[in-house]
Amino acid sequence: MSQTTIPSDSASIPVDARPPWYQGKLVRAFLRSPLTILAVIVLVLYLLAGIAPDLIAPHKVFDLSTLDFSNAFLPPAWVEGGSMRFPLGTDDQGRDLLSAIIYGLQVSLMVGVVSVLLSLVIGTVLGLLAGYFGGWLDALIMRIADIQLTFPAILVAVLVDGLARAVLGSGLHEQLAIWVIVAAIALPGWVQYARTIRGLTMVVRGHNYVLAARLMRQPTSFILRRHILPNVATPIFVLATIQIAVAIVIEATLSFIGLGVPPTEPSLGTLIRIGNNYMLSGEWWLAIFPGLALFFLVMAINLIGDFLRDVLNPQL
Amino acid sequence: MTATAISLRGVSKTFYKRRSLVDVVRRTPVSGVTAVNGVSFDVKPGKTFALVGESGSGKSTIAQLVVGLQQADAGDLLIKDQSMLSGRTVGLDMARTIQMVFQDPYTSLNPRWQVGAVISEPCRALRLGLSEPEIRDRVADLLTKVGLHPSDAGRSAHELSGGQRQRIAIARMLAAQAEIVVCDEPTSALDVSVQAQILNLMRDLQDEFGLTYLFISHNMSVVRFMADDVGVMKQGRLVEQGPAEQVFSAPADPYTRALLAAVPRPEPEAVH
Ligand SMILES: Nc1ncnc2c1ncn2[C@@H]1O[C@H](COP(=O)(O)OP(=O)(O)O)[C@@H](O)[C@H]1O
Ligand SMILES: [Mg+2]
Repeated sequence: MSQTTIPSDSASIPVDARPPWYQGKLVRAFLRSPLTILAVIVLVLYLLAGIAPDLIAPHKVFDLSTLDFSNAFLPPAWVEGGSMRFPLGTDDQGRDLLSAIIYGLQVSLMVGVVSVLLSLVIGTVLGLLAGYFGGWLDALIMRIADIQLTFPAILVAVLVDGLARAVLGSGLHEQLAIWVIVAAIALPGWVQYARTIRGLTMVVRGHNYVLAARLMRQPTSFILRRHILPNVATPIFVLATIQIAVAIVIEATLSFIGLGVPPTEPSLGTLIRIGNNYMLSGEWWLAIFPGLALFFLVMAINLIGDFLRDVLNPQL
Repeated sequence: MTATAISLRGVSKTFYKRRSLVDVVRRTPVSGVTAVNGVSFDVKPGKTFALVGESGSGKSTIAQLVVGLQQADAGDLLIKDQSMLSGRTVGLDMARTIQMVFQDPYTSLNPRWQVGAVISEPCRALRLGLSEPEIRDRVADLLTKVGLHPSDAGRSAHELSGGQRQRIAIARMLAAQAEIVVCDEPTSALDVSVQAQILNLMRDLQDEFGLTYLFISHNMSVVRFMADDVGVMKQGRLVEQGPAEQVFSAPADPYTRALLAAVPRPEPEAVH
């Protein structure tokens, strides 16, 4: 066989397998949705605060030497007796609540994002393998998933946390508390990703471009990464966005019942738990403001998740 | 040149239902569908052998067996006189020899890939030893060959019509430089006018590159236009085979006569 006609301008021909991710559609839909724009602005503010609390928080609240007990239980600035130095008031040790919330946000966001990434990676890999190979591997992975699903996520998290306490001892557990929580939340999370990816993979593995790639003897890892993954990944982004909110709420719940991160590195959930003790004695701000901070964060993430689902799903 | 490009000798394939644990415990008898049952035929080099038959008669299964996507249970399958069933000959060499054009153009091409990447995939995967500039030239060349423009390389598959996709699937097949091409109903999902264009293109490419086609169709007029030899499938068996003129002018099997009676007799020009 000889094919020799060579056009002159072939240097500009794209032959790499980069997927055209950027389809203007997402941007256009985004610009038409004021609620999503607002949610993104809120989330960006949260992220800035969470990434660089040292720059944004007015006080270094976890440096004990800066605390002054004479400032204890100050109400928010706009309430009688409040001070502009402590816009949202202070706690029993004279700690600035706004600053505590900003530092708490860092913990909450970190736990949410890292645990979702962890379960996303595990779930995606297991889902791809189960869906592509089928057979006993699929049966094994999906039976484990079924068993996992019969336990509520929060229960698994409590069990993992308890197990870690028993294994690590209280000193080590204190040091590793955040990572234990991340693992405890990530562990039950993989199932949803695995199920979604597996179902789509079982469809896509029969698509002709996959058969064609097999005929070219493309390595299985290449087929999984370049042919299947890009075509099954979209719903995972939507799921992951919403799961970040779920993970943040689970972490807050664990911290609220006293199983989460230690009070030395309080998350929003820890702050709500501590504030809850003062609800009846009149210092309402200590629980309400961390609660509102959590509420708006979860709201913003869910709105963005819903937007992504609406825009991306029709393409499937 | 070998005497036959593809040769099947009593090839059979049965698909068994996956047995659940319950089936095993209850000793439910193993049930299976014999999709291909003792089929023998030869495809001559540079010619088109058409397999025709109604849906479910086992045509696609034969296609998958021939390219190696399925393994036969019995019989012998030879590609250029090399047995596919004994030993592991199904490596890169075989992939460079035999390729496939699929039925459904909507899943032929990865929707996330650009056309240029699709067409150049075999060059890399089959290690044809081309440099990147050579690959680019080849993609441009092949796009022109299948009636598209080199600038189409930058489009992504999901922007294209069914006919355009099938042209690109053909270009990808050509990029592999295969001599033998299995075409499983390559035009049956397309409009009649587009069908005719694609069939003409495939015949032109056959003449230019000396390709051997195992051409599968359920459409008698398409087969009449493409085939040198015809095999008629019914329920996994080959009920009749022979040169196309003979099968069409003097069908021996009642099933073939029924298939021919079911379609209006088009003039050969009608598909042009
Ligand atoms: N992978 C498979 N698993 C189980 N049964 C199959 C499979 N492929 C084909 N069959 C069965 O084999 C028979 C022949 O199918 P096929 O070869 O696709 O026929 P055709 O292409 O002529 O329509 C059908 O009954 C079909 O259900
Ligand atoms: Mg078929």
